[in-house]
Parts: sequence; C-alpha cells; structure tokens
Amino acid sequence: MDNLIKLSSVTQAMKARDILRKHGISSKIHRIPAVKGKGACSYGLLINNKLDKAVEILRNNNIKVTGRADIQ
Amino acid sequence: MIYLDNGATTFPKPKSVINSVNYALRNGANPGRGGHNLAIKSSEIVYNTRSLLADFFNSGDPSNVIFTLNCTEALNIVIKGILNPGDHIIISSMEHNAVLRPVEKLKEKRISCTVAEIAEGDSEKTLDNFRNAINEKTRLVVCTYASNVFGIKPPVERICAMCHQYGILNCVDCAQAAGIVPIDLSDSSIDFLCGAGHKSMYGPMGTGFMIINCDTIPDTLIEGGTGSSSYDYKQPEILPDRFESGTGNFIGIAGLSGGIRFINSIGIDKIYKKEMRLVKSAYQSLKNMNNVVLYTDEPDNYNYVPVLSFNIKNIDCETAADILNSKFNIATRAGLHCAPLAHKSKNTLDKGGTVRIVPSAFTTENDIKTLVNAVYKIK
Repeated sequence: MDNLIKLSSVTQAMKARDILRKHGISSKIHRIPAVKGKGACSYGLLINNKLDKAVEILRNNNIKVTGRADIQ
Repeated sequence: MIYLDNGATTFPKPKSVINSVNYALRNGANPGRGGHNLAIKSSEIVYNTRSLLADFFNSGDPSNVIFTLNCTEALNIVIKGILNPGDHIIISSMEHNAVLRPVEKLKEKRISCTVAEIAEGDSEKTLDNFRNAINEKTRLVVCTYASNVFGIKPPVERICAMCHQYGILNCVDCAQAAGIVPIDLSDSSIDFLCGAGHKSMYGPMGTGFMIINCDTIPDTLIEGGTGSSSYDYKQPEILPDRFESGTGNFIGIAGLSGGIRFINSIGIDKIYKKEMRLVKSAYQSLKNMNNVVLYTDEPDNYNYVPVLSFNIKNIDCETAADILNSKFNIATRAGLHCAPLAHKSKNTLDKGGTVRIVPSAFTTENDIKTLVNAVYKIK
C-alpha cells in the first residue's frame, strides 16, 4: 500500500517532490482523477512511508497539501 | 551570412537548444494534463525549465515563473492585470511598443500615463524624472532594463527601489538584457520581471516569461483550462496555473532549457564582456567615419548593453540595411525597432529610425571588422 499526498497542480507536485527528496524522502508523481466533491484533475505524490513527516515538511515549506489518502 | 540581428532573435541557436527541441518533439505529450508516462515526462521538462529560470534569476520558488508566448504577453499581463480605471502609470522614454501600446489601449479606460525621460549617462537626472512623474494615483512604473535600440541602461534598481519608497509597484522589461546582464532577484527591488526566451536567452521563438517577485498577483488576461481544479468554474488562484491557460509552447519551453544551459556553460559575465568588447570595437571604428552618425556616448560596461544604432549619412536606414544584406551578406535591423518613443528621444524618428547591430555569443571580431569595412564602402 502507498500513501498519497494530494497537491493542487503538477508544478506543486514536482516542487513538493524535490523538497521531500532534499529531506531524504523519495516519492513519485501520480495523477489524481476527477472525483466530484473531492477536488479534481490534479496531481499528487505517492510515498511508501513517513507520510506524516512528509506532510509536515511540505507545510513548513508553504506547499498546500489538499488531501491525503491510502492507495490499495 | 554575418548575423547581427540578435536583438530581434538570436541566430544560430546553440546545439543544446536544437537537441532539447528534438528530444521534446520525439518525447512530448501535453504536460500537466494526463497521468500517463509521456505526459508526466513532458511535465518534468516544463518544470525543469521553470526551475532553471528560477535559478538563473535567483528568484526562489519556480511556481512564480510564468511561461508566456513572448515578452509582450508578459508585459500585457502585468500592465492590464494591475491597473484599474483611474490609475496612473509611469513608463520610460525608451519603452518598446510592447509597453506603449497596452498603455495606449488602457487610456480608453481612464488610465493616465506619464513618460519619464531617461537621461543617458545621468542616473540622478533619470531618477528625478521618474520621481517628478509620480502622483497620488500612480500605481505602476514600467521601465526597460536596457533600450532595445540604443543599448542604454537606466538605473533600474534605483528606480524600482524608489517605487517601493512610494508604495508603487514596478515592472521591468528585460527583453534585451536577460541572458546578457546578471539579474539577481533575491537582492532586487524588481516586482515583475518580463523577458523573452528567444533573444539573448537563446531559446526558440514563441517563448517568454514573467517572474513575480512580490506579493501582488495581477488579474488574468485570459482564463481557461489548466489541467487542475477542473470542477471549479473559476480560474485557479495557484501559480503558475493562474496565468497558463490552454496548451503552451511545450517544444519552445523545452528548447529554452537548452538556451539557459548554454549560457550557464559559458558564463553570463563572459558573454556580456565579449559582446560589449565587440560593440565597443564597432563604435570606435564607426565614430571615425565621416559618413556615419552615432547616437550614444561610447558604450561602457556599466551603462549599456551590447546594442548599437547608427545611420549612414544621406542614405536612409532601410536602404543601408538592404545594401549590407544584398552586397555584403550582413544581417542588421533597420527602422524603428518597434520603439518609436526611443527614436523620438534621440531625434531619429523623422529619419525613419536607425540601423541596429546586436552581437551574440557566436559573433566574432572578424564579423565586426567585416561590418565596419562594409559600412565604410557605402556612400
């Protein structure tokens, strides 16, 4: 199972990935499908672990995390 | 051909640009839209160029780098996105039509404008001219980093710093300076930097950029699909999506990354010094010719960029450029260079303009010698 951090655009996702990489956390860009009422057409980061730490790092770097989810 | 029309666009383009364009054509899908591998790969290319630009100008967050079709579009976004009816704008006397025409258009919406004269070689006088033009309605100052006709560099940083003292936003047209003069936005009072990707940044035509270096975000010029927040009928606020509606020039943006890498591989200081040496050499030779008229003081490395305008006595500039092209195989640019204000300030408007030469990193001393010899022979 992977964890998904939702971000508002592909630019934000890539910026977030680079920031996490500097903190030793690897991640992968992932397309987020349109689901009405839950945000739509965006990108996020798949990470294997350290989800809470990753979210905290991004928030400290003024990256808006729009959501998080588990991916089966 | 000896190509000295690099002020219009640089030619030839470096191999790194050609290779980047080639790669993008072979590997590109629509960036920032789909989730398949090719779309993600394309998004990486765009983000890489965005990051390279942010590093090149030391502007920090790549999200604040907005891709446009050209410098004109970037300037239009700032001018039309900042000003409201009743506002006042100050522009310099050396502005390109990319600034002058949007401002003229806005006059229909009760936006007034004052032109502040750039006094060549006199920073204090120039600064006074801008200061004296400020009134209680002044919202924005737009100034060129360097004249695209005469190469004159006004004291842009001091003008921008003065704007902040008065609570006025500023925007700098870097079309003729980006890629030649080092610009460090982390230590700058510039609020909005607008640039062309295809001139001294060596990218393909159809590329430009705006870098936002302040907290004020302009209104949008156009709205549309961004590949993000698609349920929302309203334009996203987030950067750069807010200003990048519709499919952009992905191939051009990929090529621009090659241009930036080219400049970085040589060093911007080295390019600037070389091109200034070439322009100074041309100036020194041309000033001794009885048939040539020059319009500036001798260019130095502090107050000019490598752009030189001249005329040949008793021959209009278009004819002179035509002779240089047809008889000597030298490409120059004649006319008004889309900058009637600049020509007005140097009294070359009634002459139909000037002949302009602009070198690039590829220009050689022999190229300049050939030009000088050709000009000498035209009578």
